[in-house]
This record gives sequence, C-alpha cells and structure tokens, in this order.
Amino acid sequence: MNKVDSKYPQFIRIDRKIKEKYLEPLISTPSSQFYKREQGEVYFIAAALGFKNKLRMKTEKNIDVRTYHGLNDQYKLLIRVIALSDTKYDYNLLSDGSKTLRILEECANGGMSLLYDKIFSKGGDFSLEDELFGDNQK
Amino acid sequence: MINIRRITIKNFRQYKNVDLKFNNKTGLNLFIGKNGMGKSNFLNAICWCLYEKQPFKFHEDEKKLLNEEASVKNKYDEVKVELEVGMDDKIFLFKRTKRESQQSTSIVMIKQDEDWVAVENPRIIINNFLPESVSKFFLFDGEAVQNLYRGNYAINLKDGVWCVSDVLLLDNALEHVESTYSEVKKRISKDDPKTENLDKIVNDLISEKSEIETKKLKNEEAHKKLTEQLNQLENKFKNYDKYREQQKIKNQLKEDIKEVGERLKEYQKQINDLVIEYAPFWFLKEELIETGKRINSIGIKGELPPKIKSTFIEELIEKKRCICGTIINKDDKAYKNLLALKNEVSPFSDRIFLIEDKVSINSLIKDLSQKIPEDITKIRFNRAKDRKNLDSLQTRLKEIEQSLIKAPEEEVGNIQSTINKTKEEIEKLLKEIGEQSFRIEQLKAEIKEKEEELNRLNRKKEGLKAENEKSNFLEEARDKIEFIRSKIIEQVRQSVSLNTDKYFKELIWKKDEFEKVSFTENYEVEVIKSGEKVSSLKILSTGEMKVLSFATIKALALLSGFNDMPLFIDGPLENLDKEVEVNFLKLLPSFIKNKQVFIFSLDKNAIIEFGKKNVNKENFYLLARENQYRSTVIKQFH
Repeated sequence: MNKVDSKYPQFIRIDRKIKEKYLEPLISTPSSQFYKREQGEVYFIAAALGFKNKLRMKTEKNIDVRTYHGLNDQYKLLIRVIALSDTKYDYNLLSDGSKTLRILEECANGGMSLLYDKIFSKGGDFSLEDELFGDNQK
Repeated sequence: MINIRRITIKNFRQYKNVDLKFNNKTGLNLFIGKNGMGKSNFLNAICWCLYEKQPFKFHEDEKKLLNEEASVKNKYDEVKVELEVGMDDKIFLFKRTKRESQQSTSIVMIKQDEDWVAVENPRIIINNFLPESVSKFFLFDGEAVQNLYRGNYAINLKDGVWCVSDVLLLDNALEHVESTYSEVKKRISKDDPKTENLDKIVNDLISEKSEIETKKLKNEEAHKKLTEQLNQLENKFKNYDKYREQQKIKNQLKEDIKEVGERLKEYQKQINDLVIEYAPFWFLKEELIETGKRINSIGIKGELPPKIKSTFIEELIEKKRCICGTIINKDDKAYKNLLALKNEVSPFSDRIFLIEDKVSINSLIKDLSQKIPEDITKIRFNRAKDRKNLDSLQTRLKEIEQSLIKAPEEEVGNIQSTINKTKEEIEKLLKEIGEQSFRIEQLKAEIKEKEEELNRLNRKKEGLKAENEKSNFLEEARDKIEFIRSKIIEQVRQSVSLNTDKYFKELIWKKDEFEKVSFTENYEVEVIKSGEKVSSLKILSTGEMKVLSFATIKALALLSGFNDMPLFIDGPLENLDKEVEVNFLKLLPSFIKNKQVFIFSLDKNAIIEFGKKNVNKENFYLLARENQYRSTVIKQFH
C-alpha cells in the first residue's frame, strides 16, 4: 500500500435504500445470476454499468459495502479508471480518496437499478454472459 | 452197638506192652493210676491209632513216641497200637505202627472167619466207627471238659454243634462247589466280554442317528417346499425381466443425466465466475484503453513520478545517509543532492498509482481481448457439447419411460426380496442337510464298527453260555447246600439244647433248683434257676458247671449219631470237691448206662470205693510202674 492509498477511506459505500432495494435482492434471490455472490462483485458491476450509462445518483444515506483496503489491485485500478475518466483525467484527484470513492459510489448507486432491471425485468432470461460475449456459442 | 474188644499197645510212650481184652459190651472199665502213669496217654494211644493225633496233654519227658525201655534196647523198634472193635456183627482191627525215621502206617482189617483181611477204604471204616470230628465227645479229659463253658463258650458250643451235625460232607460239598464256582466265575470274568458299555454306545449312536435323520427329513421337506415356492416366484418374476432391463437402462440414463447436469453446473459456475469477475472491466474496456494511453502519454512527458520512491528519499534524508549507505551531514553535498531529488520527485508523488496501473491496464486489456474470450469459448464449447449430450440422454430417457412396462415397482421389489430370502433359506437348508448327511454317514460307520465289535463279543459271550449255566447251577447248589446246612445245624442246636437240659436234669443233684437249661440261637446258655431266668453261667458252681459240661457232651455225643460208641473219660473227678465227687459218682452209673465206658482216674478214695462197689473185678484196673524205665503196666485192681 502506498502513502496515498493509505489515506483512502476505510470503506466503499452505497446508498442504504439502493442496497436494500436492489443489491440485497440481487444476491439473495435464487433466480438471480448473482445469487449468493459477494456484495462487492455486484457493486463493481453496477458501478461500471452506472458510469457507462451515465447513471449517477448521489447518496442520501450511505452504508458500508466492504472495506476499501481489502479490495484487490484490479478493483482499485477500476476505481481510478472511473474517477480519471469522470474528471477528464485529473490526476490530482487521485490523492483525494473521498472524492475518488464518491464518484464510484454515485455510479454504483445509479448502475444498481439498471443491473437489477436487467436481471429481473426480462423474466430471468438476461444473461451477463450473453451481454458480454453474445450467445452465438451457446 | 459198638464195643472195644481188645486194646494192644506196644512201645507207645509209658506202655511197653499192654494187651487188654474187654468182655463186657456195656458197662464201666475203671483204670486207677497216679499222676504220670499214662492215663492221658492211654487216650492218646487210641487217638494216635485212629487219627495219628495225640490231643491229650503229656509230660515233657514223654516227648518221644517210642517207649523209653524199647528205645534203649532198640531205637528202631516198632510202636504199635491196635484196637479190636466190634461193630454190629463185624469185627474190625484198627492198627497203626511206626518206626524211627519213618512215616506211620495205618491199616484197618476185618475179621473174616479166623483171618484178618485189610479193608480197601480204611478211612471210611474209621469214620463209621468214630469220625475225628466227634471223637472229642467220646474221648475226653474230665479236667478239660469244664473248659467247654469257659471264656467265649458260645464258640465251643457252636463248634460242637457243627461237629455233631454231620455237615462235614455238606461243608466239603460246599467248599467244592464254592471253589468250582469261583473258578468258573474267574474264567467267565476273564473271558466274558463287557458288552454293556458297547451296547450303550451303540444305542446312543443309533439314537443320535435317528434324531439327525428326523431333522434331516424335516429339512428336506422344507427344502422341497421352498424350492417349489422359489420356482413359482421365479416364473412370476420372469414376466418382469424386460421391465427390469428397462428399469436398469432408465436408472443408468438418470445417472448419466445427473452426471452431465453436474458438469454443466460446473461449466456455468466457471463462466459465471469469469463473467462476474471481468464484467466491470469489460463494460469499461474503452475507458481502460483510454486511461492506458493517457498514462503512457504522461509517462513520456515525464510527468510520472521516478522509479525511486519519494518515501525512500525522505527516509534517507531523515536518517542522514547517502544512497550508498555513508552517513552524511546537512552540509554535505550528498545531503543537498537528496533534498534536490526530493523536490524533483514530489510534484508527481500523488501519481504513484499510475506507475503500477500502467502495467496492470495493459495486462488487463490483453486478458479482456484474448485470454478471457478464449477461456469462455473453451468452456462454452464443452458446455454446448454436454448440453447436446444432455438433450440426447433426456430424449432417450423419455422414450424409455414411455415404453416402460407398467409394472408395480413395489410388487416387483417384494417378489425379488422374497426370492432372495427364499434362496438364502434354501442355501441354509442345503448346508444343514449336507452337514446332517455327513454326520449320518459318520454315525453309520461308527455304528457298523461298534456293532461288528458287539457281534464279535456276543459270539464270544455265546461261547461262554455253558460256563454261565454252570455258574448259575453252582450258585443255586451253593445256596441250597447252605440252606440245608444251616437248617441241619439249627435242628441239631435245638436238639443239643433239649438233650443238654434233659441230661443236666438227670445228672444234677439239686433237681428242684434247676427248671430249665437251654441254648439261644447265639449259643448262649440260659438257665432258669429257682424260677429266675439267668443268662450268666457265673451262678453255677464248679460241680454244676462240670455236670452241665458232661450233659452237653453227652447230648452232643447222642446227636453225633455215634451214641453207642464207647466212652473214654480221663479224670472225671478232677477239681471237684468231696461233696460234688460223691454226688457225681452217685449219678455216674445212670450217665453211662447201656454203653461201654472207660474211666481213667487218680487213685482217689471216692472213686476206688465207687469202683469196688460198681465195677466188676475184671474191669477194674490199676496202672503201675513196672521197672526203672518207668514203663507202665496195667493189671487187675486188687
């Protein structure tokens, strides 16, 4: 861990309502592709979808999803990619952990409902696999 | 009637030469002599002649049989005793002779006309005259006669009764029978095979065999029944063979489907793991590429922090050390260089992530473009293959299920289970039957062996049948003889008892005092004296005891069957007091009437007086010393 990284907040967070409304059903519903998966895994997919689809939502009342420092390097890289892309590559932002993670948090809040809709709105036919790799080789 | 006609004694102890003829067939012959004159030896001479025995006591100096005088003259001279006896109308001569260093010889002769002829069986004649066993009741010592009732007199009485019972023949017969019986028994016991144990063994074996055969029969019946049952079940179950085959295929298909299903689940999991792990990066693939480019760009511009980390430079400054490790001062050039380096690095220190991100992004993009799609494709390929496989399996399963015979699973299961159980039972029964058959064969062999042994022994036993019959006969004979013998002895005892009572009363002078004398079964004497029954003989005086003894001897003599045999009494008055002597002598004539009696007595006045009054002169003798050799002569008493 470098000096800057150590100054990052201890937890990555999500809006409490978002968590209750989308995240929890996504990991606790047996028909969900994310059934019994970790919150963190779903959180980052939602954040990526949120950023990509410009779905941002500020947090009203946040709640911890997991520790920042327990994340692997790839997820930390993703956090910085999102933050840099969002700020048109303001590298100085990276020294401000709170700001960096807030961008991530807003994207996750925004992306979570989209992910939820994808998973549940099509009657369970949605497949992340097909979404990413197409279904020509099924 | 028996009478002594003549007694000849030559060279026998005191008697050098005695030749006495007795003309009286009955009545008393009285011999008076002092002690040592040979009164007892006269009786010994008679016993010696008849039995080669000398039961009457004699002095130590009379040890030698040969007369002293004869011995001096010729030690090989002959000792001879002869008895001429009249028995009914026959006359016999009993003769015994002996010479020094020789066995004595005995001869019995019968007088035929004027000649003496030796008889063939002298022992028979002697026994007809006076058997040795009863001789003591005809030749006895008056002094010793009292001994009959001394000590354990019952034995003496019993012995007396036995002697006169004439059961000697029976005893001899009994002894012979006993000995033969014992020999036969010994032979039987030696040769008789013990078949009882073998009999028992054979019976036990037969019984065990029969028991096992019954069990085996039951098992065989059960086996037959079960086999029939099994056949029926198997026939029934044949109808379900196809069903079972299909069921088997169905189950296999289910297994296969399950297996493929498991694999598909695994493929899906692998894909899910990859998708969920890489989905965020996949969605932001463009942003990653752009970020990568940007980092490269600032790197080229030198806007990335150096590879030496500012923290490392800060640490060196704080510890005042050069990069080479040398300690430095604030004034040193090296220290200043470190400060300059720090200032140079610090504007980009916040971009420290980007150095590593530059590498990571490149690697990640490479994975997203190549490795992940390849991995996914590979898994998808396998998955598609298994999906096809699964479809095919499911189709087949469906077909099988449609064509499956309608057979109630439960029923089939029950039949199968019953068949299995029946088979198990049959197997168990067959095992038991096998064991039982084996045991029966074993038993048959054992029985055969034992029966052969038994037959052999029985054949041997059959051979001993005659011996067994003999043994039984001997046993019977022994019992009969013993019975007869005991009967005779008992009768004789009773007769002796009655006659003793009779003679005692005849002889005893105190007739009023004695009511009855009798013997019990145990040969104890009971006397009723003055109205009182007494078992102890201590109540009798010496004289009374002597009378009782004489009465008993007379009774025994009477019962012996030789009642008319002459009587020889040595010292009848010995140990009697005067009054008793007188009383006894008064009664003597009645005691000895109707028979020939020889009395040898000391020269007591009482007896001399008695002799003078009651004995013929020619029958009254005196025993006297003849010469220096102490030979005794017998002459008329004057």
